[in-house]
Amino acid sequence: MNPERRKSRMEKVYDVIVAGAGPAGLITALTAGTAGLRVLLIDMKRDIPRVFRACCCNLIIEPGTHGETVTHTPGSIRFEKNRFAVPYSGAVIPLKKSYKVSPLGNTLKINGKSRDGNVAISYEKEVLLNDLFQRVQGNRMIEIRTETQALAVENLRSGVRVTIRTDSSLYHVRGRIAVAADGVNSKLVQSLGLNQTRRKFFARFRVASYHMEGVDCPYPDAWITFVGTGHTRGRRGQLYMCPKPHGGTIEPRVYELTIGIPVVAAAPGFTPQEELRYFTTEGRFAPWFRHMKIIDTRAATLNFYTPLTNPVEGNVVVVGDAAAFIETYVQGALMYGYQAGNAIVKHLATGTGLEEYAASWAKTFEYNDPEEIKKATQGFGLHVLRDEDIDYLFSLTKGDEVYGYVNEFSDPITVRRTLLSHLDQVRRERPQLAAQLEKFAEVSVHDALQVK
Amino acid sequence: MQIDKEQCVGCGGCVNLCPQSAIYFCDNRAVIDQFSCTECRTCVLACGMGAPGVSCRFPLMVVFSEAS
Repeated sequence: MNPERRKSRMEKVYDVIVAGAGPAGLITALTAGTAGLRVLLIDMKRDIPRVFRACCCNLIIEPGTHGETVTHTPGSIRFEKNRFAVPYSGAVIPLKKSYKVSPLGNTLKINGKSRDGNVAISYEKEVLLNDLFQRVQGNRMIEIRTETQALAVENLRSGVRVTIRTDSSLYHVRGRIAVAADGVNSKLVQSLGLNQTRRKFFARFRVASYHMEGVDCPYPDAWITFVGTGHTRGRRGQLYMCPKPHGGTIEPRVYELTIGIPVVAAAPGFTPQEELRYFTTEGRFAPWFRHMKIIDTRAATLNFYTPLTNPVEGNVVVVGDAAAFIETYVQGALMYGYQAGNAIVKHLATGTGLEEYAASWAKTFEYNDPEEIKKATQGFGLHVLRDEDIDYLFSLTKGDEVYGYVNEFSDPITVRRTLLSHLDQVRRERPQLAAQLEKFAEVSVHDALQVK
Repeated sequence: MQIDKEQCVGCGGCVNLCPQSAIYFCDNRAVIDQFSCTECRTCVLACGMGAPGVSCRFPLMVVFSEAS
């Protein structure tokens, strides 16, 4: 870079500097750019709409999730309460069932509770990002820098200074507002020192997800959770599977298998890749994968911090996963990004506005209530049971008509309620297990995620 | 540490977690700046794909340290 150009970059002051061009960053940039603000959008990827990161990416359709109700109509995803829509030109696969499968083969079946009988809607994140990115590219107020990463942000007396790196340079840019939309392991949040006040839960999770063709899955329209320890070689971790549209189409059927393994420094255990090999060649469900061909691999590494109860620090606005515990879902990232974008527009015009975004986040992001963190983690209390007990419990639910959604907030409650409805029988047949079941509420969060 | 480009899927986890900010992205894949890396192994524990690995920058010193 010649010195002349470097100088001009240093001197330009942007209205908004958005770090991270995932769903949260894209929509924040788009909202601000549409309102006429000068926006700088940076991302470390070369191809912003490409997805390399594992993300379940189902539309969580339960009304009230993150204080919003999200629906899919051909061509767009609609946010009923916030009254906006984002373009989505891709295909969807409505998921009709949610199955919890024990390592021994018995299944707890949950039927879709929505009007259309869905538990969730499977869609394609790459298409969503691509549709959004096209709009961002078409907006002349938004300057995009790829293969560029924001390392740190500082609040100045007025505005912000963001430290930016490319593979060959390190420089600062100045703006009036900075947006940290750089995801679950946000560098900007870390640089502000905000993680020091957050409690960290569990171990770090290593996650990999595999898109596969040629899977002989008996449940082509289900969200499948593999429950229990017997599905993995290291006897810990979480596995999910569901069909995914791929390349804008739903034929041939592509399944996404996601494997999350907690990393304990003392005993690193197996990598998701080793677990994939085990699950698809030696596990009970290996026959499903005899003709399987992996067409795409994605990964992620997750830290679980308690959420930022206040996502606004001076002139820095934290959006999406960067502020969350676990995640905000893609739809949450879009919604909070939209809210943050509007709040910034208002703030720069009137001097107030960011407080409204902060208040909305505090009110609608479920995990800001510590009870919700406790509740959601206890849902996995199933994992403290032995595999044969889980299998036995699931066998009792065979004739049950259970309705619910895929959702980390209500799904654990649905499961617990279903199992507890058989408590009398369990008391008669397996009194010890009944006692354990009744203790569900006392399961510690550490036991719940099998970190020992 | 070095990243095996064939193994890396480009999720960016190590880039954000590296305490030295020694990892950056090039062609949608993680690359470790050999002058900044302190071999702390954070990336090894972060990676689900087993992409980061030791490739010693000072091969003679390895022999030395093993002997001691």
